Amino acid sequence: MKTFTLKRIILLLIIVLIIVFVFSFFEDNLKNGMQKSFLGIKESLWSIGSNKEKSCTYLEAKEDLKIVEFENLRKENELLREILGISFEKDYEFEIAAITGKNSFEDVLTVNKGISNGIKEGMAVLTSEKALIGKILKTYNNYSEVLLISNKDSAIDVKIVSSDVYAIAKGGSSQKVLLDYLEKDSGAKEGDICVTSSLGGQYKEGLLIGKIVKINDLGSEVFKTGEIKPFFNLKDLDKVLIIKND
Amino acid sequence: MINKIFKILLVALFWFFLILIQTSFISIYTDFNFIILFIVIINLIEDPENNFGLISAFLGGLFLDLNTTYQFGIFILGLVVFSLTVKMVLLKFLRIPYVSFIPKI
Repeated sequence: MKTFTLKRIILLLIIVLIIVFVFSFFEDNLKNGMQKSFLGIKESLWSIGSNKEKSCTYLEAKEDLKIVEFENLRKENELLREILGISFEKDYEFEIAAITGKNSFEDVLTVNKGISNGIKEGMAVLTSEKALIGKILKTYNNYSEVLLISNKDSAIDVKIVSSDVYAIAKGGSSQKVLLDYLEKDSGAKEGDICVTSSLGGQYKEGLLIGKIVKINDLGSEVFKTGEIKPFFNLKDLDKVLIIKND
Repeated sequence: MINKIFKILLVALFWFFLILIQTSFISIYTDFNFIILFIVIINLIEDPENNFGLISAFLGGLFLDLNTTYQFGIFILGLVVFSLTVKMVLLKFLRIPYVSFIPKI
């Protein structure tokens, strides 16, 4: 009964507060040191996890469907890039990075490239199929954090290709992207492709974001809202491209 | 004393590898955080006079803080306060049977 007296508890809390206060000064160094030492293990674990999904026999049929869908999307992406006149290999300088983890409570990824590789905050991050994943949130010496487009803190100006109208894509957490501020009289419909617009100044124009899967039109609201299905799935990702000359 | 430090280091290693698995493997499939769940369960079922739950709360919180973008200290303080509150309640107001397989520190 003597172990946790009120005096001891208060003393313990004060000690913990002091430790937190002292550690907070070295937070970046601690984070970088921890990630640097175990980047290899984390990369392997992520890779095992993302590949395991693909090897499950009961998901084979689902996987076949996904491959067909993926092929269609890839053709669609190429076509769209041709229409928009974007040649990635010529216009951009890429850095290939491996995903090492995802934060538990937020849509933030960690990748194994950092300041030492020339990565800077705000750089756009794409999948190998050149679809937008997000942007670099914070860089450390040996790794970086990526804010996914599905993070609640993310808001991107988007252009809907078929109708040439503009809207905002907001993060809805858990890999959901919501469409907002879509004009009532816009001709946007489900199935339309969204790309980044240069209006917000965050990204270059024409990076693929996703496909509209739902449009809500509430009579009382000034704008229409909706949902976008991003062109990436975390389960299938292990490498990403960072645009260095964004 | 050396024995105690060795035990704490082992506990730190245990939570560290659990965090590695949580952030790089489990997070592909679910956003649910098993670290917090384990710490809550350990604190509820262990002998209230044992320090394992409290040390786990501190170390688990520290590693969680180092793996998120939130303000540093939120998880350490949250979990330590939770652990101390559970211990206080279990010692003073509520007596429930506890399991004996959790190592004593």
